[in-house]
Amino acid sequence: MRLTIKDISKAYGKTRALVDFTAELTPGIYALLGPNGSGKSTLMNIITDNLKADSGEILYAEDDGEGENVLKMGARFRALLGFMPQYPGMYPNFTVEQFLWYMATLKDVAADKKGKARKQAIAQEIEGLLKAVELDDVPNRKIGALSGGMKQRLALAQAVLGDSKILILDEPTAGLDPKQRIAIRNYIAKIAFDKIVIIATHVVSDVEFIAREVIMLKKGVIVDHAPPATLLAKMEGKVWSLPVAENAVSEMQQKFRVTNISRDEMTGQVLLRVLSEECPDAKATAVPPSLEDYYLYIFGEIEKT
Amino acid sequence: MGLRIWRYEWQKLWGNRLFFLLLAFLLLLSGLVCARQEIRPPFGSARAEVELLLDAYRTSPEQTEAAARARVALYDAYDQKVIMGEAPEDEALMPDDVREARASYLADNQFLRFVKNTRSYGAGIEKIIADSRTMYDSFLLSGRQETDFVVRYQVGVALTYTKLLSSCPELPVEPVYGWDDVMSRGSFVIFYLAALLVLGTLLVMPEKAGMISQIRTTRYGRWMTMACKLGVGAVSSTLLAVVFTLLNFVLIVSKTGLRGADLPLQCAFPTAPYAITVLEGFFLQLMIRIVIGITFVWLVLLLSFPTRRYVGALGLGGAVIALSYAMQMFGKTQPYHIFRHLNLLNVLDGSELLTRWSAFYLGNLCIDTGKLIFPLCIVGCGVLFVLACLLFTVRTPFLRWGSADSMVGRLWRRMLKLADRIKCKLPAQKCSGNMGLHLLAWEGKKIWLQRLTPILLILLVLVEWQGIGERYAEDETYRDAVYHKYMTQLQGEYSEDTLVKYQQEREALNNIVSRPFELQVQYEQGEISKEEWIEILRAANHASQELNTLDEVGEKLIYLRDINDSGLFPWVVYDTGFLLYLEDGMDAALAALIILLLAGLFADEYASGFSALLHSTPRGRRVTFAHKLLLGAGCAAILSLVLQGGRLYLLARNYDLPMWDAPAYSLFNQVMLSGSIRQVMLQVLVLRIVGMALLALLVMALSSVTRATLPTVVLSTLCVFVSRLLHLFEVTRLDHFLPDCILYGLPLLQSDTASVATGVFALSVGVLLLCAAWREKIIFKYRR
Repeated sequence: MRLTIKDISKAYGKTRALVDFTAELTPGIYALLGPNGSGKSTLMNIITDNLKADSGEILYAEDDGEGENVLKMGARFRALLGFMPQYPGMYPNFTVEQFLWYMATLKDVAADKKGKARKQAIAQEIEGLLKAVELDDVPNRKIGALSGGMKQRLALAQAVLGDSKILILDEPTAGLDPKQRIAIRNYIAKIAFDKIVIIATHVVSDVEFIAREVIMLKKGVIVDHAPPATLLAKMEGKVWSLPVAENAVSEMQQKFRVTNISRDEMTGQVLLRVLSEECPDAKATAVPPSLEDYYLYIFGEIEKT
Repeated sequence: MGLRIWRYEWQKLWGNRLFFLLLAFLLLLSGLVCARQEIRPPFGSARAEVELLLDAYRTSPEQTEAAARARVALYDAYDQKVIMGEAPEDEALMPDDVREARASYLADNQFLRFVKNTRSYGAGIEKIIADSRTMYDSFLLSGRQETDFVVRYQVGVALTYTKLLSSCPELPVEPVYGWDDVMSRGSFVIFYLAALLVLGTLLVMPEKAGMISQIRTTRYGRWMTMACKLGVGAVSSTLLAVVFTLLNFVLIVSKTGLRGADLPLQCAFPTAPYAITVLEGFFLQLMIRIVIGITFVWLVLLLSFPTRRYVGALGLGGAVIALSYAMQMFGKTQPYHIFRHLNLLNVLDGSELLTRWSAFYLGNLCIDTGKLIFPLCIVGCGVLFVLACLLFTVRTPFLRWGSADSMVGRLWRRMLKLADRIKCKLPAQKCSGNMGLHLLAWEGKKIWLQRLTPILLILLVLVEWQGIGERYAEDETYRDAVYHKYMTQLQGEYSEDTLVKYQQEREALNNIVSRPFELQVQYEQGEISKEEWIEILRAANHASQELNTLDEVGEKLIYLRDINDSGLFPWVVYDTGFLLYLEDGMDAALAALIILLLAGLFADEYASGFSALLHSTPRGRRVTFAHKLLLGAGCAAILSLVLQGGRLYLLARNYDLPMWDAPAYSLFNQVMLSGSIRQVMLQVLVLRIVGMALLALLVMALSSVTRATLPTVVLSTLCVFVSRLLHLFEVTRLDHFLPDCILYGLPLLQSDTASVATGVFALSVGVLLLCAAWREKIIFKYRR
C-alpha cells in the first residue's frame, strides 16, 4: 500500500499554505510537525478531498503498481480513510453509540457481510473500539454531555472504525490527560502496523517514540523529513544543561536559546536547557537531545519572558 | 466604547450587518404594502368644497345646513323629472340654479351626511347604553345571576359609555383626516412582528460561540450583562415600534392629509370608549405596541435559553406567533374569549381596543381588556426580566438537561434512565436505540428527533385545526341552505329549460313576496284573520330572503348561459364545496414548518464542523445528499398529503359534492379550467403536494448553498411570500420562478402558462440543486 503526494500546492489569496509538498507514504506512522499556519490542516483536508489543491496530485496504490489518482477514485478512496479533524463537529443529541453506528453507516463498514451478520460485526467492532478509547461505560450518554477529552476519544474511535487503511489524525491527543495520551499513543502504535497513519500534532512527545518519519512543515514548505533518530542525531552536541543563579536567568535568555528552565532542589540552582552550536558556558554539560529540541531549533526564536 | 456594558451589547446587535439588512428589507416590505393599500381620501374629490361648507357651518350652522339641504332637494327634484322624461338631462339645458346644485351635489351630500353622523353621536351612545340595559334586564329575567359574565358585560358597557357621555356629550362638527386610517390599518404589524422576532433572536447568546462561559466568569458577566441585554432589547424594540408606525403614518397621511389631532377620539371612532383626543389615542396605541413589543422580545430571549441557538429562538418565537394566529382564528368565532382579546396579533394591531369597549371572560370574571393590557405587560415584563437575569446568573448546568446537578437535571436523568429501561425491554432492540444501517433513518433522526420538532408539529396541528376547521366547517347559514336547495333542483346539464325553471321559481317567490300588498286591503277590511295575515307576512319575509339567494343562482345561470353561448356545455352544479377547496390558499403553516425543519439540514453540518468528517466518508457525499433530498421532499409530500386529505375529508363530511364528472368550467368563474371537476380537484391536490415537495427541495438547496441556517430561512420565506407582494404591483413575471402558484394550485390551472410555470419553477429548483451538488463536492470537483 502506498500513498504518493506529489507537488501539492495550495494558496489562500496571497498566502501560500502549501508549496510543492511531496511525500511517499507506506504503512507506518508519519508525524506532521509545524507551528500554527504551517499547512498541516490544509494538507489533511486536501488528502481527504475537503479542499481542492491548486496543483499536484495524490496517488494511491494498493501494491507496488502505478497509483491511481485519489480524486478519480472518489468514494473508493474515502472508503479507505479514517479522518479525525482538529475540531470534530458531532451531533449533541446523538448518544456515543448512536454516533458510531451512524458513522458505520456512512463508512459502509462490513459491506461484505449482509443482514444480521453485518450488524453483529459492526456491533462487535464498536464495542471493542469503545473499550479501547475508554468510553465503554458511557455508550448511552449524549455527546452534548461529554467532556472535551471524551469527545476527542470518540472522534478517534470513529476515525478508526471500519478498519481504515489510511488514518488522518489532526491533534488526536489534544485535551487528554497524560494517562489518556499515553494510552492513545500506544493504541495508535498498535494499530498502525498495516495502516498509513498521518498525525498532525504540537505535542512532540506523542510522536517521538512511535513515528516512523517526522515531516517538519514551515509556512507550507517541508523543512525536514526523516525518521526521529536521524533528526535527533542532527542535534547531538547542540543541547546543553547549564546551571545558573536565579538572577542570571534573564541574562542567559538574552544570550542563548533557552528551551527549558527547571530548578535543582538539591543545589537550589536553576538549570537551563540551552540550544547552542557551541558550548555556551564552562559549566554547561551536553545532554541527549529530544525531538522537541529539534523542533525548537528548526522553528526559530523562543519568546523571552 | 468605554466601560459601559450596554454599549457593547448595543454594538453586538446594531453592528450586525445581517440585522440591518433584514430590518431594511422588512421596512421596505412594510412600506410597499402600506403604499399599495387602497385608501380613499376623506370626502373623496369634494374635500375642498366640504371644508368650505364646514367652515361656513362654524359661523352660521343653521343657514349653511338649510342651504345645503335646499340645493340637494332642488337637484333631486330635477333628477326625478329627468327620469320621468319631463326635463332635459343635458347640463347645458339645465336652469342655472339646478346646474349649481348639481355641481355641489356631492359636496352637499357629504357635508350633510357628516353633520348627521356627528350630531347622532350622542343618540348613538345613548342607544348603546339603552341596549345594554335592555340586555341586562332580559338576562336577569331569564334567570341569569348578577355575577354571570354576560350580565357583567352589559354592566361594563353601560358604565363605560355613561361615563363617556357625561364627559363628552357632543362632538364638534369637525372632520378627522388621516388619524383614523393610521390607527385602523395594521397591515404593517406582521412585518413589525417579524422584525421583533429577528431582534429577539439576535439578542441570544449562542452557546456554540463559546463566549458564555468566558463572560459568566467575569464580575459583571451575569446579571449586569443580562440586564443590559434586556435593556438594549427594550430600547431597540421601542425604536422599531416608532419606525414602523411612523412609516405607516407617513405613507397613509400622504394620501389622506392630516387633521383633527386635538379633537375627541370619538370624532374618528364613534364608539371609542376613552375620553381622550385623537392624538392621545394614537400615542396610546403606540404605547401598547411598544410595551407588547418589549414583552415579546424578552420572551423570545427567554425561550432561547434551553437551546441557546439562533434557530431555537427563531423557532420558538415563531411558535409563539403561530400560536397567536391560532388563537386569533379561534377567537373569530368566540367574541368574548380571552384568545380573541389577548393574542399577540390583535393586541399589536390595537385598533379593536381603541374603537370599542371590550371584555373577555375568565371563569366568572369579566375582565376589561383595555384596563388589563398595561398592567399585564408591565407585570409580564417584570417577571421576564427577573427570570432572564436569574437563569443567566445561576450555574449554566441548570439549563443543561443531561448533566445538571440541579433538581430538574436529576429528574430529567431519571426519566432518561426509565426510558432506556423501557427501550431495553423491546424485542430485538439494542439499548442504544440506533437506527441500524439505514442512512435515511439517521437523516430522519436529525430532523424529527430534535427538541424543537414536537413543538413545531403541535403548533402545526393547532394552526391547521383552527384554519381548516373554520374554513371547512359546515355552512349553517340560511343562505347556503337555500342555494343548495335550488342548485340541487336545477342540477344537470344546462339548457334553456334550466333558465325557464329558474324563472318559474323566481316568479313563484315574487308572487309570495307581493301577496301582502295584494291582500292588505282585504286584511284591513277584516276578510283575512290576523293569524292568516301573520302567516302571509312570514311567508313573504321568508320568500324575500330566498329571493336574495335565488338571485345568486341567477348570476350563476347567466354565467353558464354565457359559456354555453361560446360553444361549451356546462352543467348546473352545487359548487360551494368544490370552490371552497379549489380557492383555498397556500398552506402557509406547513410551508413555515418545512422551512424551519429543513433550513438547517445541510447548514448545521457546516456550522458544527461535522461536514469535514462527513465528506471524508464513502457515503457522506452523493449518497447522503440524495438521502437528505429524498427525506426532505418525501416528508413534505406526505405531510401535505395528510393535510390536504384532512381538508377533503372535512369537505366531504360537511358539504354536498355532487357531479364529479361535470366539466370543471361549470364551477362559477372558473371558465379557464378544462377537464372534469374530478380531474381538476385531483390536479390541484397533486400540484399542492408537488409544490410542497419542490419547496422542500428549494429550502434544502439553499441550506447547502448558503451553509447558514438564518439566511436560508429568510431566503426561503422570501421565495414563498414575495410573489404575493409583487402582485400588489402587478408584477407577475417572476411567478414562474417562485413556488406560490404551485402551492396554491388553482391559479396555475387557470393560467395559460401553467406547464411553463411548473417547468420553470422546477428548473429553478434544479439549478439550485446543481449548485448545492457542487457545494457538496459531488460534481465539478476535478476542475481546478
